[in-house]
Amino acid sequence: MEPGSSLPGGAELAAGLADVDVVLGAPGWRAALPRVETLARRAVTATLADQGANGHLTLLLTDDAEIRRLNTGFRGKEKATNVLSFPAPYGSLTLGDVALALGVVRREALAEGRAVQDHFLHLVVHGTLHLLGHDHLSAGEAMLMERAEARILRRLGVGNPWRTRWRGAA
Amino acid sequence: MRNFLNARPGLVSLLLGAASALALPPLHLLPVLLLTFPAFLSVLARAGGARQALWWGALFGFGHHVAGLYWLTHALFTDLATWFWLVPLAAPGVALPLAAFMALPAWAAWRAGRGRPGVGWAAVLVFAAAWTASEMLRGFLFTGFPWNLLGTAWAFHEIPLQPAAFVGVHGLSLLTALLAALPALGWRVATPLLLSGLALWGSGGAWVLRQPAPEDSAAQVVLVQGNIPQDLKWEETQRLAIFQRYLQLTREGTAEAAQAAPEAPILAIWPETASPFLLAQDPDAQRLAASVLPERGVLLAGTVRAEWSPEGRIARLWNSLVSLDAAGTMGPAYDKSHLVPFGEYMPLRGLIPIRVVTGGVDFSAGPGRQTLELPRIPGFSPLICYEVIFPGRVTGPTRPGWLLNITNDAWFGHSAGPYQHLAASRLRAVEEGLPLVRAAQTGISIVYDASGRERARIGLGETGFAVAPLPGAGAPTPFSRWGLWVPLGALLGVGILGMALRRRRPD
Repeated sequence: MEPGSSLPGGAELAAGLADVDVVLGAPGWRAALPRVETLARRAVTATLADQGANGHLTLLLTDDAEIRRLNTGFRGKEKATNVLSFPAPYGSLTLGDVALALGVVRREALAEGRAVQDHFLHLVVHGTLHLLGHDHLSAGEAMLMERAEARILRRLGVGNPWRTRWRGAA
Repeated sequence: MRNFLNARPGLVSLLLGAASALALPPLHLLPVLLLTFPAFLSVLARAGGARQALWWGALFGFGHHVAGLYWLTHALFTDLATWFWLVPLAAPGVALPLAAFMALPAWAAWRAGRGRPGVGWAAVLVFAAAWTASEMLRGFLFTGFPWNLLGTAWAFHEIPLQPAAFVGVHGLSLLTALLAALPALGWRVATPLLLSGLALWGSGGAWVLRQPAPEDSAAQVVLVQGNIPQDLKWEETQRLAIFQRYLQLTREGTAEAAQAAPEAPILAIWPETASPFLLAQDPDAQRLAASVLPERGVLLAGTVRAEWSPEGRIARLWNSLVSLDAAGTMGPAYDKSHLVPFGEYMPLRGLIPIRVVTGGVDFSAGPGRQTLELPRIPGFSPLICYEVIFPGRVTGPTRPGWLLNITNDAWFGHSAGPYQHLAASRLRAVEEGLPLVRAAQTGISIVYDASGRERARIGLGETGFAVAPLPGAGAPTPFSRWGLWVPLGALLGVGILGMALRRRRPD
C-alpha cells in the first residue's frame, strides 16, 4: 500500500459503491478535490450500472510527468494526456487500471470553463468505459461512447461535457 | 553608409538578404528591393575573388530565408515540451541549404562585373538571370522547396500577376530582380527604365484582365473551414466534436448553396485531414457525412487513409482526398504524392537520430498528379498541402477544369506562412489559366478564378463556410503548355545578353 491510498471502507461498500482502489500517486489531488476517493467511486459505480457490468478497478491519481512516462512507455506518445486506461486481459480478476494527471485535468477544466470536479468525473467515466471495451476510433464507436458518457454524467448531476468549446474559434 | 558597406561586407550581405524578405507576402514591401539589390551588387563588385563572392551570396541567402521562414518555428509550439531545443535551430536549419543556392547569383554577378569599377549592365543582367536559375534549382534539389520565390511578392493583386500566364512565377522573379537591380547603374539610368517597365507591366496586366472572363461552371463550391487548433486536432476525445463541427458547417453551407442555385451540383470541400475518422474506411462516418449533403451534393474531404496488417496493426498510411456522394457512396480518391520530408516521412531513415514524424508511422506516397472526374462537375487536379507550391507541376497528363488545394496550415498559426502558401496558390491559378479552389483547415480558404481574381475568402483563424460558383477554365496558357521551359528560355536570354555586354570593353 502506498501512503495516502485507501481501501474501500465498509461504509462505502455498504452504500453500494463499486470496488475501486484509489492510489494517490501525486501531491495536490486532495487539495484540489477533498473527497476525491468518494467522487471516483461514485463515477465508477454509475458507469458500471449504466453498462450492466461489475468488477474491480484501480485508479491512479498522478502528475503530468508520470502520465507522460506511461504514455511514452505504453503507447509511444511522448506527451502528457488527461486519462489513460489499461484494460486487463480477458479473464482477469480486475477490469484494469485507469490513470489521471492532475495538471492536465486542471488545465483542461480551466480551458473549458468547467469545474475541476465535473471534468474529473467525466474523465473517470471515460476511462472506465474504455476498460469496458468502449473506444472512439471510428465514428460509430465514438457516438456510442459519448452518449453513454452524457447519460452517466447526467445521473451524477454533471452537465453534458460535449457542448464543446473551442479556443481560438469564434 | 559607403564606409559601412566596405567595412563589414559579410554582415551587410546578411542584413540585405533579411531586409529583402520584407518584399515577400504578407508584407509585400517591394520598394525595399530597390535599395537592397543595388546595395548587394555594389558589395559584390568589391569581392576579392570567387570564394568571397560565393560566401557573401550564401550569407545574403541565409538572412533572406531565415527572415522568410521564421514562421516554421510555430509548428514546434504545438508540442513545446518535446521540441523546445529546436526553436532556435528550425528556421536557420531549413534556411541553411536554401542559402547555398544564393551563392550562385552572387558569384555570377561578381564574375560578370570583374575587372570593371562599379556595377555595370553585365552584372545586373547576369545577376537577375542567375537569381532565377537558383530559384528554379531550389524547386528540384533535396526533394524541392520552391518557397519564398521573388515573384510571389506581387501576389497582393491580380494585375501584376498576369505575365505569369506566359513566364510563370520564375519569370516574374526574373523581371523583379532585373528592375530592382537597375538603380545599381545610377538613378539617372534606372528611373526612366523602372517607370516605363512598371507602367508597361501594370497596363498590360490591366488590359489582360479587361478581356472577357470564361463563364462560371454550373457547380457551386462550399468551402468548409473548421478552424480546429493544431493542439486539439488529434486529441482523441475530441474526434466526434471536431467531426460534428465539420458536419454542421457543411449542412449550413450546402443548404445556402442549394438555395442560391437550384439544380446545380454542389461541392462541399473539407481541408486536409479534416476528418478525424478514417473516412474512407469508416461506414458510420460516411453515413453521417452523407446525411448532411443535399441530394445533388458531393463531399470532397481530406482524411487519413490506412491499411492494416493481418495482425491488426496499421501498416500503411496515406494523406488523402476522398469523395462521397449524398447516397454515401465513395467515389474517386487521391493520395498525396509529394510528401514533406521530416513532416510526413523521415528521409535517410536510420541515419538521423531524431524522429519528427508524429504518430510513428511514415506516410506512403500516392502515384502522382492526375485529373479526378466526378459526374456533372469539371475534372480537377487535387493538390494536398504544399503540392501547390511547385510551378508547372500541378496537373497530370490531361488538362483539368480546375485546381483543388486542400491544406492544414494550423501548424503555423498567425504567421507569414499561411499567407505565403496562399500567394503560391494564386500564382498557380494564373500560370495554368485555371480556377483554384483552396480549403485550409484554419485559413486562408479561397476561390480564385482563372486569372487569379479572388471570388470568395474565409480569413485566417475564422470558423465558417463560403459559397461561390466554381469559376470556368481559361484557354490553355503558354506556361501551361511549355511550363518551366519558358522562364528557362527567358533567363538564358537575359544571361547571354549580360555575358555579351561583358565582352564590350568600356570606353
